[in-house]
Amino acid sequence: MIKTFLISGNRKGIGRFLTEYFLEKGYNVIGCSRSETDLKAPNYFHITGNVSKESDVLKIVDLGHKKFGSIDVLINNAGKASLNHSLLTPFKTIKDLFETNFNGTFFLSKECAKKMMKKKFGRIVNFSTIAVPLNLEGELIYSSSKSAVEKMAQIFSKELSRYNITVNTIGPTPIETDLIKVVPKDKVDEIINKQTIKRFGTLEDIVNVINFFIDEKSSFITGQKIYLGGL
Amino acid sequence: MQLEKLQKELIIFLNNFIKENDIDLHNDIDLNSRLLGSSSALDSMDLVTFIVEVEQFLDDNYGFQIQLATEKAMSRRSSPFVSIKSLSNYIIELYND
Repeated sequence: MIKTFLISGNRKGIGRFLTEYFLEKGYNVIGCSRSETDLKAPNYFHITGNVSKESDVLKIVDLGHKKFGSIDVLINNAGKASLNHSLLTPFKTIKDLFETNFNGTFFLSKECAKKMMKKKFGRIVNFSTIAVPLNLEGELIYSSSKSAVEKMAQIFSKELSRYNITVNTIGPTPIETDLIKVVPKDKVDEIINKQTIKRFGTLEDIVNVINFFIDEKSSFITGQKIYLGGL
Repeated sequence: MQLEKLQKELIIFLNNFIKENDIDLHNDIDLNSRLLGSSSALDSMDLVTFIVEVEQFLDDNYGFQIQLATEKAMSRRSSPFVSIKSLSNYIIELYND
């Protein structure tokens, strides 16, 4: 049943890893990012666009769907992070983070769900963060935007259940990608010390949860969130 | 896109939608059949699905990519989603815009 994935923000980091992983498994993958990619594969199709712009999302989903004939799994990986004391947070940061993390996830979920509902099958996986349950200082805007993404998944899961579309959320711990480079080392260590299992997450940890969420046998798993690291 | 042709197509489309989704129907579908409200055969989620499928139908058959549920549509005094007649008029209006 699952043939095609759409993975947002996949030029590098987690998104790139997931793209290569699912291509290796023989699936079609539609990728999107704001700039071009060097990734080339016969069953890979890349579309440049900004997920925070609804018109770009319409283009991404339309072209991707026309290319492979279906979108069965959406992985809402595109995201932005920022570490700032609330009293020193400029409006532009708030706007940028919510536009990418919340609006981008919403636009893609909405448009992909329209394609999935016709087939009465779909899997949507959103990305949150363990910063949400940890209420970390300096991450008010980032955590709030991801908290909104969690809420979105819970309500979307109810609205889409009649179409056999599940919507779930993974909340990774820090893993060693570009996104974490903006966070000072002592801050990362502090987060890891708050986890039950005190280590960096790995890309394989993330794939493991995603594989569980998207499995055809997981049709009864929806509106759930899984935090890595034992929170 | 011609109004009369679209109206006929949407009536057929709605009839097929009702059959595919096992929706109880007590009267034949015509231009004035209610899509919204207590006298409609569709519940609110059926209507959402129907509107999305009409969008797909317009794209497939007319190459017309449109989101029907816009702020403009929602803020109208009379909803374009009341009947096939009002929906057809609204689509033609968007198409000619």
